[in-house]
Amino acid sequence: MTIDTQTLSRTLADKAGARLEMWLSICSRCGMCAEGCHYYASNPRPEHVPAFRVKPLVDLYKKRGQVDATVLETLRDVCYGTCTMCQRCTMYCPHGIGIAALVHAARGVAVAMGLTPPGLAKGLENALEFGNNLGVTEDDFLETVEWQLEELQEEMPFARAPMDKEGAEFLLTFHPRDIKFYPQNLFNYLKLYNAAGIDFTMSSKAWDSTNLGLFAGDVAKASRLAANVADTAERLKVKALITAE
Amino acid sequence: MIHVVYNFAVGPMVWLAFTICITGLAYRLIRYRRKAVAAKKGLPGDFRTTWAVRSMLYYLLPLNRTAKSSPWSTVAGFALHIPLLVVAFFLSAHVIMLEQSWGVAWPTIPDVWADVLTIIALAALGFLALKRLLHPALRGLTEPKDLLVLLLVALPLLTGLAAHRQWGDYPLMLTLHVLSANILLMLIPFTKLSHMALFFVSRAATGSDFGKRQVGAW
Amino acid sequence: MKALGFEAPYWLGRKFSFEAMPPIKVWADCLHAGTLKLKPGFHAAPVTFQDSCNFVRNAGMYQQSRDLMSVVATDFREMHPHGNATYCCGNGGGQGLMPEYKQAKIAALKAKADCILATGAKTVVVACHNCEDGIHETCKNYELDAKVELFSAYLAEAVDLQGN
Ligand code: HEM
Ligand code: SF4
Ligand code: SF4
Repeated sequence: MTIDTQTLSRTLADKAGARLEMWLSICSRCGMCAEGCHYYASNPRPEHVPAFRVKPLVDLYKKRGQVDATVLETLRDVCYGTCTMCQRCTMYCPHGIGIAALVHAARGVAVAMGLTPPGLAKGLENALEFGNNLGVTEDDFLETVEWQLEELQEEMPFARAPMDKEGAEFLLTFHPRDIKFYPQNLFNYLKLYNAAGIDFTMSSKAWDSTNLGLFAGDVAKASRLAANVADTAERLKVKALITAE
Repeated sequence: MIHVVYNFAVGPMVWLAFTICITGLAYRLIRYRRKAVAAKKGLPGDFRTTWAVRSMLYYLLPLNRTAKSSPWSTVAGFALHIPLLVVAFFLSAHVIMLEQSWGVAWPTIPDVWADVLTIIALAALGFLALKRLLHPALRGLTEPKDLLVLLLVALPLLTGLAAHRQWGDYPLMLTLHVLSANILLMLIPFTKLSHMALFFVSRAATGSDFGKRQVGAW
Repeated sequence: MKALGFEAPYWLGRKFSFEAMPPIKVWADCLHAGTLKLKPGFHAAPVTFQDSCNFVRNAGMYQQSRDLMSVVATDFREMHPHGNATYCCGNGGGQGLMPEYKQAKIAALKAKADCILATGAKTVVVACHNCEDGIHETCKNYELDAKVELFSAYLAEAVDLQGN
C-alpha cells in the first residue's frame, strides 16, 4: 500500500483539536486507566491498557505522518479492534483523559486513509443511500409499521401510528433492525407510547437515528446522517426526538 | 570554577527558567483556548462550571474511583505532589532567596519537615519507577522518557536533600540542585509535566462534559 | 443518542430546535406522570440490568432505569460494578459490524460474563441494541443460563391495558 502523505498530514492537522493536543501531551502513561477497560479486565495485557490505544496516534504525530503502511495498519487494528469507545476508562484516569475521543480521532485518520473496516463502510453506504444502515426501503418501512399497528390494534383498539404529522410533541426513531429483523420491537414501542398516550409521530424518510459515522470516526458522513434526522425533526416541529433504544 | 557556575545558575538561569516555564505554560493554555473556541463554531457556550470544579475536587480530595481502584498509585501520587509543592514554595531557603530579590516573603516550614517531606517524595518517585519497571502491563506502556521524567524530578530533590544534610561536597551539591531544578522548570511546558497547568483544564473539560451528560462528578 | 444529543450540534455548527431524548427518559417521565401504567411486580424471575454506555454513562439515565425496573421486577439484582461504572457490553463502537475483530471482542466479554454470573439472574434486560448483541454473545460464549431481553419488550409485556 502506498501512502498519500499529503492527505495524512492534512488529516492529522485537522484532527489536532484543543483536547487532542492536550491529552496526547499530558497522558503520563501511568496505567491507572487499565482498571476501566473490559479488555484489560478480561485479559490484563499491556496492549489492553487504554492509554495504549493512542500510541499509534502519538507515533503519527511525532513522525508528522512520515510513516509506512504498517504503522497505519497497526493504528487501524488498535483503534477499531480493541476499543468500544465506552468511556469507562476516562473515569479511572487521574487527568480525566477521554480515550474514547482520541480513539475516535484515530479512527478518523484511518477513514481518511481509506482503511474503514468493510462492515462499517457498507452500513455507512446504506445509511447514506437509504437513510438507514440496513437498506430498508420506504415502502418496506411503511408496510412494517402498518402490519405491526394492525397486530397491536387487536389488543389495543385505539392504538395509532401517525406518520409525518407536523407539530407532534415527539418524533419516534428506531434502529433499522427493529424494522427489518425484529418487527416485534416496533410493536413494543407502539404499545408503550400508545399506552402512555403521548403525542408522537414518525417520519417516513428519517427514522433511523443510529449513526455509524460516529463509530467509524467519519465526521463528514456522520454529520450528513445526523443532519438528515435533525432536519426532519425540525421540519415536523417536534419538541423532542426519541432516539433508538 | 564551581562558583562561576553557581552564580550563573542562581542568577540569570533562574530568570530564564521561570520565564520559559511560565510563558511556555501560558502559551499552551492560550493555544488550548483558541482551538477550543474555534471548535465551538460560534455555538453558545454550555460549559458546566459547577461540574468542572467538582470534577477537579473529586480528584484532589480524593473521592474519585481511581483512589479506590489504584490506591497505592494514588497514595504515591499524593505523596509525591504534596511534598514537592510544599517544599518548593515553603522551604526557608527558597523563601529567603525570593525575599532577597523581590522583597516578598511568606511563612516557611521548619527544615526538618522539609527533609522528611523530601524523603517521602523520593520514596514515592521510587515506587512509581519500580511500578513502571515491574508491573507487566505498565512496563509495556512505559517509554524511556517516562523514567527520565521521574529521574528529572528526583534530581533536585536528591541534591537539595544532600546539600542541606551536608552529604558530599556542599557547593557541588547546591550547584547541582539549582541546575537540575532550573532544567526541570524549563522542561515543564514541553513534557507531560505540563499537566501542572493542563490537569485543571483536562479535568474541567471532561467534568463539564460529564455534567452535560448528567453523569456527574466521578 | 451520543450523535444527535451531543456531537451533532458541533459537527453541524448549529443548535437544534428539538431535544434528543433517550426512550428510557420518556418512559420514566410517563411513569412518574402516571400516564404509563405498568403492572407492579409483573416479572418474578431474577433479573439484572445492563447499563448501556449510550444511555447511562453518556446520558445519565441510571435513576430512570431503576425507577422503571423497580416497578415491574420483583427480584432485581445489581451487577457489580453497575451504573456509571458498569463494564461495557463489549459491542459498542461498531464492534457488531467488524467480524474481523470478533475474537478479541469475545475474549473481552469475560469481565461482563463474570458480573452477570455473580448476580444469578435469569434475565438480563438491555436498553440498547448494541448491548443486546453484546450480552447475547456473552451469554452464549460463556455458557450463562440467562436470556436477554430488550427493555422495551420487558416493559411492554407489563403494560397494564386496563389501567391505561
Ligand atoms: C500543580 C499542580 C499539579 C497537579 C494538579 C498534578 C497532578 C498530577 C496527576 C493527576 C498525576 C497523575 C497521577 C499521579 O501519579 O498522581 C500526576 C503525575 C505526576 N506529576 Fe503532577 N501535578 C502537578 C504538578 C506537578 C509538578 C510541579 C511536577 C514536577 C515538576 C509533577 C510531576 C509529576 C510526576 C513525575 C508524575 C508521575 C508520572 C508517572 O506516573 O510517571 N507534577 N500529576
Ligand atoms: S490513566 Fe490517564 S494519564 Fe494515566 S495512562 Fe491512562 S490515560 Fe494516560
Ligand atoms: S473506551 Fe475503549 S479503552 Fe476505554 S474502557 Fe472503553 S473499550 Fe476500553
